Amino acid sequence: MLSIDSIIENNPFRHIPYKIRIGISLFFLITSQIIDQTLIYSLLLLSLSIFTFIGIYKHKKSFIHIWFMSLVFLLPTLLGIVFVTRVEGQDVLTTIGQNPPWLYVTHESLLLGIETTIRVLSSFSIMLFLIMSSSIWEIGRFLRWVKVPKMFVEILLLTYRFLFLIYEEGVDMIMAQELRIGYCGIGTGLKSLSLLLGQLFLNTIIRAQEMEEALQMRLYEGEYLYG
Amino acid sequence: MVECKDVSYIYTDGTVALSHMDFSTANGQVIGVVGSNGAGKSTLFKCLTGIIKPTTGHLTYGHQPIKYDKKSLQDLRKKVNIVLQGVEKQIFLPIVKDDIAFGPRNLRMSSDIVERKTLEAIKITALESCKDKLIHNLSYGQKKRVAIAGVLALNPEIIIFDEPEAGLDPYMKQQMVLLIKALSESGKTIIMASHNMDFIYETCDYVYLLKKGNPIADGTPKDILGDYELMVTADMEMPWILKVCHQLNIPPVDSEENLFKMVKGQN
Repeated sequence: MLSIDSIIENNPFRHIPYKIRIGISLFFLITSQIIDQTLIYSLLLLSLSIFTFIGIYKHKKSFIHIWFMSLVFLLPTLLGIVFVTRVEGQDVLTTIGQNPPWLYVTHESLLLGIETTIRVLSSFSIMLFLIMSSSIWEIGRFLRWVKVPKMFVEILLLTYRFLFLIYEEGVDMIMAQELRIGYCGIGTGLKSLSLLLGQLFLNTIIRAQEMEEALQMRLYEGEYLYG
Repeated sequence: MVECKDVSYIYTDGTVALSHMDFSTANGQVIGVVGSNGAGKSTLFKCLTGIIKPTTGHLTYGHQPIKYDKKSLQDLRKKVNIVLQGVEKQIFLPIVKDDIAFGPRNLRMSSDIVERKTLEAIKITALESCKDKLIHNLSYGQKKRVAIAGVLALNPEIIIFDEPEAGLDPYMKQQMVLLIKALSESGKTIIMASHNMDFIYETCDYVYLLKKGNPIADGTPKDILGDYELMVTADMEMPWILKVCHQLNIPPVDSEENLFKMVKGQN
């Protein structure tokens, strides 16, 4: 069905019972937020990144790609924290612009930036360990086990499945457009993209209807039941 | 036994997908529904499984009219189920045996019964070697078997196949013929649609021919698929065996072995 399932299936940590695996990840996530210390975040970031890397060693390219993507999303936020416009009583390290400077980097803002980065990345490493070692179905089972409302879990599982339906549909459509020289220039690219988005919306509705019919035929009654 | 009398289905935009269709599984054990694209085959199957309600006409299961409340539809689908053409649509879980067990679990059966039904379906579809594998890593033919096993695990009396041989290589196609024959021998009624007339001729004992939503003929495969004029009218092609018989002006035969015997005998 999905390549992420293949990554999870080959993860050596998969032999650990799912309740322990998911429970440990959530324990780390919650306690690190409660203790709120940079050293704890740093240790978690380091240890869980190593564990995740060991777990998905065969797919190390995916590991690097995911980390790179997370850093791309983190960078604008980080710049917004490190560069400040007011420095009342702060220790200025460097400036951008002259008479007067319009951006400052202070000791405090730099420290806050580093702390925030470590905090975000440690939380991300915990979540990455979780999703690379546990399937969405195991997470669903765990959530039901800890008495999370049925409807919430079902919406989570159906959304997960549906996201990949859209993704698969989108990939097929982009391939079909590329084969018909759909992205050869900026103008045609934009036109193709607008057509893609419109058609993707319609196709997605059709796929959703088909999925609902198939679920009905398998006697689905609003709850994924497993094991 | 599922039956429909004078069933029509008209889409909201006015398109007549099915018109005055009479259909009954009493006519055979393996029933083929053939027709060109837009003939109404899929619409008929959706009606038979209660996915859509016919605009007019009567549908019965076991001589009782089909009701469209949730409970009645679920009861119907325990008896009449379908293997869709696009197998990916009806696969919901990543591991083979988990997906096959999806239906029985929805029936809230005990884990022992779920396990037993799953293993039975796995055995029938010869999926023992890949029951613990990821569906993602299987070939298209194997995925198709997983979809069939998922339906078999519900133990329906009537199984509908929408183009069961589409996308399969010759070996898997032959395996599909054997599987369908085995299922029908075990007492299941099979209804199937296909554009492959050789496949229909080899497996079916009764055929319905449709064109643009209208039923134009029904009868034994020899009578329907062997009628050159009728097949041309329906924009269809005769099975190659019957085409050869037609061209050589010899009586229609059941299989290629019999055809070769007959031709050799004449020489």
